[in-house]
Amino acid sequence: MLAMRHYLLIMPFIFGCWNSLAYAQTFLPPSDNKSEERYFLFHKSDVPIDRARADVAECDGFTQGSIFRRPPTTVNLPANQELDPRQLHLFFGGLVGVAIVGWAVASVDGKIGRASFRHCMMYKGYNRYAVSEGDWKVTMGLRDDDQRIAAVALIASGPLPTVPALVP
Amino acid sequence: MKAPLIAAITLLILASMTPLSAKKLIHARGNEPLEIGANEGAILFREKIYPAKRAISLVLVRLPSESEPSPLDNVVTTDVGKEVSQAGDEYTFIGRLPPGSYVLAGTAYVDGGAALMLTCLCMGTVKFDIAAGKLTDMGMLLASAEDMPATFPEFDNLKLGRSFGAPLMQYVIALRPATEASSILVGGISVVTLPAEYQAFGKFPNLLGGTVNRLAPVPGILGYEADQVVDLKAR
Repeated sequence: MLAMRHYLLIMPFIFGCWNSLAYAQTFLPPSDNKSEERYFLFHKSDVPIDRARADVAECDGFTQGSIFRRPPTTVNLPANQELDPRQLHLFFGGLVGVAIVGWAVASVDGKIGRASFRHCMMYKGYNRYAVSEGDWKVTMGLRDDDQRIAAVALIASGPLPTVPALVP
Repeated sequence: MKAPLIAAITLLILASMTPLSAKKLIHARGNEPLEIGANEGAILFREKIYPAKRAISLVLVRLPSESEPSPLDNVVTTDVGKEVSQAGDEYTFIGRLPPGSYVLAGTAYVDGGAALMLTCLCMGTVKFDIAAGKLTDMGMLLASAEDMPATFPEFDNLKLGRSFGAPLMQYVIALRPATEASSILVGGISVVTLPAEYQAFGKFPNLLGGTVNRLAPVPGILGYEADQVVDLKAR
């Protein structure tokens, strides 16, 4: 049976979690079942295949940095970066918050990659077009990097799609 | 006996889930004088963030000298909730960090002892120098969810992609540089600031993870031709 003082002890921790949760909810995306947000390809008129391949390779490279990819080295906090004991609840609560955010982010990791790809191709002047899941699987969905880049570049530099362009 | 063990294991798991390892800015407190050591510099910056209306963390990467290892050893983040002042929706931060050339690399979520990279300005941003013994004024950072950009003139004519629904992970970010030296009261003592001298900085790999984007054009400093960064100062 917990005494009142125990409850008082864990209150700051709960406050820390709550504080982080309130912020973390901003990360949670709505469910995104629209196939056009998952299955799409790019096209730009009059772009040579070699240029398209270089563009796709660069944008594909940007998406390889998953949010959960750790930097190759880690850095400790400086020795003079001491935690204020009064902030400990926020530290541990913060860790829980970040873990929750991390879980939320993990659930949208693919969306982050797709958004990064879309941004990159948008700045390069490509339009985005919805495709079927089957067409996506044999292009953007290929696991082999070289095959994927070649397939996406071939479509990007090929005939103009007959469907309207999507919002980038 | 089990409870402490479970708590320890839980904390280890949680700690291992923090993907962005970074030093944190040593924030100044608004009610104490700012003391800048001989071998350190300091930055002053302001933020306006929409729609969260809460400060976000900046990610700065110090460019290594030839004798230094990877720039990933030099990642510095600021910490939310440690502003020296807040006036309406404007937050002001001051902090100390090693002097050197820094790249404004993006934004992160930093809370307590851990951090997650949010937006990477991998496709174009700025760099600037932080001088030893000086308070460098970075100016004002403006950030807004991509699908509902705030009405800052810096966001006019921006190319916008579709949001995937996580506003904080899909920011558009602009910078309004400080234009002249000024002074700010910290702990009741006036400190003279030095405006940051920005220079365009080209693409860099998304090594820290995060949604790829680029800093909005900065007049006279940073421009773009399609996806290519243009150094407007060099023209």
